[in-house]
Amino acid sequence: MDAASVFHLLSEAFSFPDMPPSANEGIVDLIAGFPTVIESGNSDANALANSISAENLLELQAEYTRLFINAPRKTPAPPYASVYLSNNRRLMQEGYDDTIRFYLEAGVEPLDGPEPADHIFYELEFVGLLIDSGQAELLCRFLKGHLLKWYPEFFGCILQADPNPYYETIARITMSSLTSLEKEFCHEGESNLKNGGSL
Amino acid sequence: MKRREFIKLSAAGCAALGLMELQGRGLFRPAVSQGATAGATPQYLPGSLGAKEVPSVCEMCFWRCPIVGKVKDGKLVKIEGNPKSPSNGPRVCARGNSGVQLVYDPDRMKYPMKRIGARGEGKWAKISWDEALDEIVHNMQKVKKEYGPNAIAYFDHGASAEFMREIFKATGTENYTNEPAFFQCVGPVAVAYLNTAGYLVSGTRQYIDMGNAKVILLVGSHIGENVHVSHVREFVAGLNKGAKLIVVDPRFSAPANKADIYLPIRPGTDTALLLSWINYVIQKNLYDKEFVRDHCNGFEKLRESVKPYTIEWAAKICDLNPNEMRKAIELLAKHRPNVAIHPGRHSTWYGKEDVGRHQALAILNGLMGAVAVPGGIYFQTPVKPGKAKGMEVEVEENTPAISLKTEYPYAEALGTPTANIIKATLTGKPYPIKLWGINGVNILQTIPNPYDTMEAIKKLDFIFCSEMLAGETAIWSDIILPDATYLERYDAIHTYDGLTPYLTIRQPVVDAMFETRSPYWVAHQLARKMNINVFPYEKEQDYLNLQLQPLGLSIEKLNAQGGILTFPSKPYRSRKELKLPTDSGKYELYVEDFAKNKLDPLPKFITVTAPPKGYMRLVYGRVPMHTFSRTMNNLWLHNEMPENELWLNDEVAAKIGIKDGDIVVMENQDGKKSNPVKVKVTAGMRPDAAFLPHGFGSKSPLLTKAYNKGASDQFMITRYENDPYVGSSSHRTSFIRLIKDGKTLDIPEIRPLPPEIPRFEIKKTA
Ligand code: SF4
Repeated sequence: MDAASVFHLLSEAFSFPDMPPSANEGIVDLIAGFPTVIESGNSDANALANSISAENLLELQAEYTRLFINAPRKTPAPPYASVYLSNNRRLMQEGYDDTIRFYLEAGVEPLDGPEPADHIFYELEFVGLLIDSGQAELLCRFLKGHLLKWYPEFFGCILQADPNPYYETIARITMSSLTSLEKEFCHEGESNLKNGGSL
Repeated sequence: MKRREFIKLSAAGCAALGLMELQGRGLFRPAVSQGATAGATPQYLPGSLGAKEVPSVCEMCFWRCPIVGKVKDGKLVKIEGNPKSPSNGPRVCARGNSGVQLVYDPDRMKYPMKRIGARGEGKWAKISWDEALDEIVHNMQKVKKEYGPNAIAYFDHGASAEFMREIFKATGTENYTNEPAFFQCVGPVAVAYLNTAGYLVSGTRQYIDMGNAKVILLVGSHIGENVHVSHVREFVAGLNKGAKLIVVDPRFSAPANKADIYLPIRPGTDTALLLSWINYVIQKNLYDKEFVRDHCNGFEKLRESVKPYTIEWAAKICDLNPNEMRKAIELLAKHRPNVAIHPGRHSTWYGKEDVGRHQALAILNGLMGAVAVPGGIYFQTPVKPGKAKGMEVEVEENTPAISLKTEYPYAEALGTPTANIIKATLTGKPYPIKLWGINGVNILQTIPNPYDTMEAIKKLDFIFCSEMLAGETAIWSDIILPDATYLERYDAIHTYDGLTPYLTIRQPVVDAMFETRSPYWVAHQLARKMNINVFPYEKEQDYLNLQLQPLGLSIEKLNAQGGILTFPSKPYRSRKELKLPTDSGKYELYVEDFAKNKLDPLPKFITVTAPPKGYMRLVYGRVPMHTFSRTMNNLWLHNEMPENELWLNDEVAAKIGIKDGDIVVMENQDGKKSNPVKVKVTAGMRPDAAFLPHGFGSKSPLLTKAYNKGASDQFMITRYENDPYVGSSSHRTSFIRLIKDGKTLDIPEIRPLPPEIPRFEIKKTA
């Protein structure tokens, strides 16, 4: 699977699920492609398979709602850059402005959706687009100067909330993919990306 | 990650894409309208400089001050008072300011939600609006079919709840308006003044001219701690111009601190004080004879009935110094008629005597002739916008044979007493109630005995609510509808009929976040789905423009002139032209209509039971940084005041070994225990009562900041009585003692109780 597809799929996985992941070939492939990441997690293969199975769509939706939208005690992991990059855990603050500036620099703008454009699924999609278009320098600045400044904290919030195996896996694959992308291409081999290189 | 896992970095990678090929999931488009997003407003202008200003109306509390929202790059950055507003000008209070935080709170309700787990568990899934509304429609129709229309009940409060009320009205239920605000707050004062002066001197607003008064009398009202910007300004203006201030309060409140005469009264005895003052001014000929002769009914009956109430008698009952009492009433009488006897607002204190207490205030006001004169109660100046057809459901008023309102003669016109709805839901008597809709009110933090309320909810077939932030009610709901905040929506036209009349509109300052929707949109959708003939307008702007038209205005034109249209006021009348809006045209010192309904036509002293031995009375009140229980999760306001403290008398504290800052648990007469709460030891509190700022100790884990911070007064108020006029529920009839380090501490009696006042007896359970 190419790197851009990985990020497009991760973006999808961080959107509200409207079909069971087992019915989504791309996501099944994505998970299969990261065996070591899954091994490092807390849940076994059975539990994972169970949580992405077709019968459990409602449970999965409830889990997504709990983790990312609203939940008792608190929304454990609001998926917005602004919440982590602003000093007061608010929506639409500096972290949001920061995101928008990167989008505009790349010559794109988010479609108007119900979600603010610093939602993790926008940002992962944006990474995919930057890879697609080979904008290596911007990609590295976006990773180092923005996304990797908040994703690790967000990731920590997800893990702390005792997520189901599916969201734990997605969160881990994302963490791992972002760090390797940054490591592989933003230090030694920016040219790799420019040349369309593969790993 | 191993390299092999990341199979290949895109092959598409030619850097030639200035404009990206936007494949992927289609979340982006090429940037064409750069001006619409960040970067449009020069970033170097700090703060709100250079922001666009949108006039609107605050709803952080019900006072509804005109505001301007300052918007930069589509984001709300600051809220200020509308400088064109004749009432608040450029000012807002702390809460008004913090609306910014409400809009951008990550804990706000974002999508319609459906309950997945057990009721009260708080396990939900996001659903579509269509699904949520269909579910509501289905359940309303089902319950109506199975149990009849009255099995449906609506708890509503504020601007956000008004449109949906029409939907409930259309179902045919008698329980379509049960404003908890009415039955837990203004009911008794409203009834007293409506029947004495003929108009609503105190409801949402208080029409009392403190700014031009020579003396201001506050009985329990702690203006300045409860902040309504223009009201506080009028109070301060009056004091600035030299008004003398008399404060009656068991607690040394913020206004007590400014008082010329402060009367630290025994809780539950205010009516005794007022009756003795009424008697005193009559006996000493200190009242306004001309006003009484020309404009009042029932003076002789009043004179007779108050005879037993002497100052000496009241001094004993109220535990006050009789000389101070005399000094106060003489000061008031000396400056009549330009005296502001504040009617009060929150009036559901003790139950049986609540209407009488406010009637006594109204009578004293009449005896002072403080009616339609500078400084007194004044007349409203109605502002009349045009009409838009079809905004209300036509229903025939028919009280069902078995009604929840019959025992309370003055409930009929105002709604169903909330206590009766809860009882009927719990017991199925006199008829079952199976569905609740809740809008704009946190019923668990508002209505006494929330334990009963929770039990009642368990008996329902269906419960839904409209919420901005998830209060306790949301956790119990089957469907939650996410409300757009007041900064993201239109509402009805807003008019002010006080001393500085104006007309303005609430309008969206920013786009609604997520899938939150305006109350009109929701009600409009429900009407369509249920085939109810109401709300013919697609958009709020349509009816607003129709209503503005006769004034030669439109939304656009109104905005062009700063969002406000002001009018001259006519608050005063000469004695010659004075006619009260009662049936007789006179000020009713004796209310015939009460007598007709077998109620006391004149206020009497009705004893309010004193705390049982070892307990003290729990009283509560507002703080300037918070509105009810609604704002505790607001970041800015939470920072200002994260939790409440229990005010405890210093002598009591010393006797039971409690120090300032100690943590205690309250235990009430029914054995209910509170969250741990910090004690504030003070000489400014009577020894027979403790004071707790209202609204804290949220039981809703959804409110990340407010959850379990401080203690809830409401969860201690498990004992209440209903007043016989409207059926409102009393809130100051619960008693507490304290638990520290696991030890229960009885409260010593420092001010002995006169034999005339009985104690409440705690029933011993075997
Ligand atoms: S008093 Fe404060 S919270 Fe209430 S409407 Fe005015 S500004 Fe808003």
